[in-house]
Amino acid sequence: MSEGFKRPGGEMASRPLHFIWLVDCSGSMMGEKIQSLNYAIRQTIPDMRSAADENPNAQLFIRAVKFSEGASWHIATPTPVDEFEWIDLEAEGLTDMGKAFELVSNQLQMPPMPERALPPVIVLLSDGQPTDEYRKSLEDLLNLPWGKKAIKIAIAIGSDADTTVLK
Amino acid sequence: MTNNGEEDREGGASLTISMLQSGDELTSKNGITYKIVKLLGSGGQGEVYEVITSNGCLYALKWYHAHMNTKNQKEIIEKLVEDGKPDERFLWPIDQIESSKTFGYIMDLRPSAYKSIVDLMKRRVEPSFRELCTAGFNLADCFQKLHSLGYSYCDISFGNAFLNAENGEVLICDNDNVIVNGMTNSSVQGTLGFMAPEIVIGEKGPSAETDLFSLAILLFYMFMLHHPLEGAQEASIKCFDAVAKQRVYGQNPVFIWHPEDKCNRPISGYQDNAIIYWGIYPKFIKELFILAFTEGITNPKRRIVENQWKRAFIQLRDRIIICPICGAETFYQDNSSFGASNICWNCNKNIETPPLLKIGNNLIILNRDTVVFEHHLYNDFNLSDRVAKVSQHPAYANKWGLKNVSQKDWLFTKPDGSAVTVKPGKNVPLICGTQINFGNIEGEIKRN
Repeated sequence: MSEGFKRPGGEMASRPLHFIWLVDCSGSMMGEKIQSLNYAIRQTIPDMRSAADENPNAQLFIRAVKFSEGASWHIATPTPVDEFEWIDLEAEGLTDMGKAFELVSNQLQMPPMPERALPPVIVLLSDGQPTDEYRKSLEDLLNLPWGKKAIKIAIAIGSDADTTVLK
Repeated sequence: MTNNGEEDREGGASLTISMLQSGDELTSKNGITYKIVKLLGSGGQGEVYEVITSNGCLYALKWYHAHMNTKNQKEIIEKLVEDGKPDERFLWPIDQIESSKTFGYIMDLRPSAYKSIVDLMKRRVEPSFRELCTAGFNLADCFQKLHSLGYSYCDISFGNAFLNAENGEVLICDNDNVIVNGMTNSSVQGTLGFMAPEIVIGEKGPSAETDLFSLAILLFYMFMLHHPLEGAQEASIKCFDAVAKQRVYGQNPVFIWHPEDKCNRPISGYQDNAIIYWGIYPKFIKELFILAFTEGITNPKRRIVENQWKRAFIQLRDRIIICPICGAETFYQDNSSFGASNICWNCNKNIETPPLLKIGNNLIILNRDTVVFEHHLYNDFNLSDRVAKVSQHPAYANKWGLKNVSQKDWLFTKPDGSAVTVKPGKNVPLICGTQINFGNIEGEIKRN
């Protein structure tokens, strides 16, 4: 075969895997907790990159929601893991966790979610003291087809975290 | 993300920090001191580091997470170290190290020329079809070696085999799951997508027999860049989660090219590689894959054994035709249904078949760089000793011959029936109808 001649076809078929950080940056997270959280997320990125690199079945996309007084997309675009960079968060205000669930619910509808994908992963980082009525929003999220299938992980931040809410 | 029992905790958040640091020194059971150079990678079982001895030799250290620090896993490693590596192609445990919390083993480092099968799947490494066939042969040969020594590998998947795209050589790593076949002490069940259906549905544990299924999956991936069971069934599943995978790989596994049951054909636009590659390869290799994923699913005793793969990949390599128009590698198809010619998958032009050498069941396309090995005469898998090679006439560039590079005289019978002795170093012209007696084996140069 002449130099540089490729075999036919493309890359092996793969499915998108959407990974969403849900990050608490309310006042109770102020100080060492938010700094520790920023550091922890940054630490995971190289490992996520190498895990994605070794897995041809998945295309890993990451984004992040922040919540304090209200909630907003901190990193709105589903970003390929190779391009993902963590932007540090500051803590202040309330803990509108329910608003964060609503934002995620909007993104787990089809569309914008594709028809075929791997189960999405939602990771909640919080000290677990929501100040809004989060239960209804959480229930709505969990009732969506992709919400039901999602892998949901809650990580407690700080030794005083209220872990009952995070369960 | 790794999780281990020795990590530090800072500020209340659990962080991923490697278990060992550069400069740490560890002394092995054999009394050798290894200094940590750097972290190479991490996985579910542990981390792998580059380490250096006091006399400057570099090795790899696999260091288990604390949860893997079990008596069973230690015994497996001890036995593998004691038995010694099957051959140089295995990155095998060669020494052990223990700490108060966990343990690990030393193995050779993988040279950088060897790339993972994931790189092949993501098209980051692009071997020619020729080297891919050689890699397929070598991979089957490695697992044959392992199985013939009474072991089972237990977790053949993307991450365990590496190939050199330049020459098709392979390396087998992660040998720490290897057990004596028939034992049930494996620390792994395998990787979903590679596991035999009977493991997926929980009926059996890994064995040499289930290795053969995983090997067939890995080979199919290498040659087709697609999974053999992912057709219409997978395409119809929205969320491909563990439950769906159980169904596709365990409860209802149907080969995408099942000759009778056509319910799981690949879907164009979504599973294109499967369709493209199936159209390129000759019938005999497709028949082998059909057997692997029809009978090989329903009856584990009928799985394709390594010798069958080895023979098939040599045959496949022997049938490569270099398209004279575009230079792509294409495969000679027996009794082409379109007449005498083959069609190039790349430029779609008819290719006039070059002369070929038929020796028994072996059919070798005589390209400009073709070499005939002892295997072609004796079917003994000897691909080291050369018998003949195609050579160009020194004075007439368009004249080609088959040069005797063996130690034996050949007897060359021309189409008119006259016979001439061909001494080592001499040539036979590539004329169709020529018979060559290679000693005690006959071959014929043909056009089709």
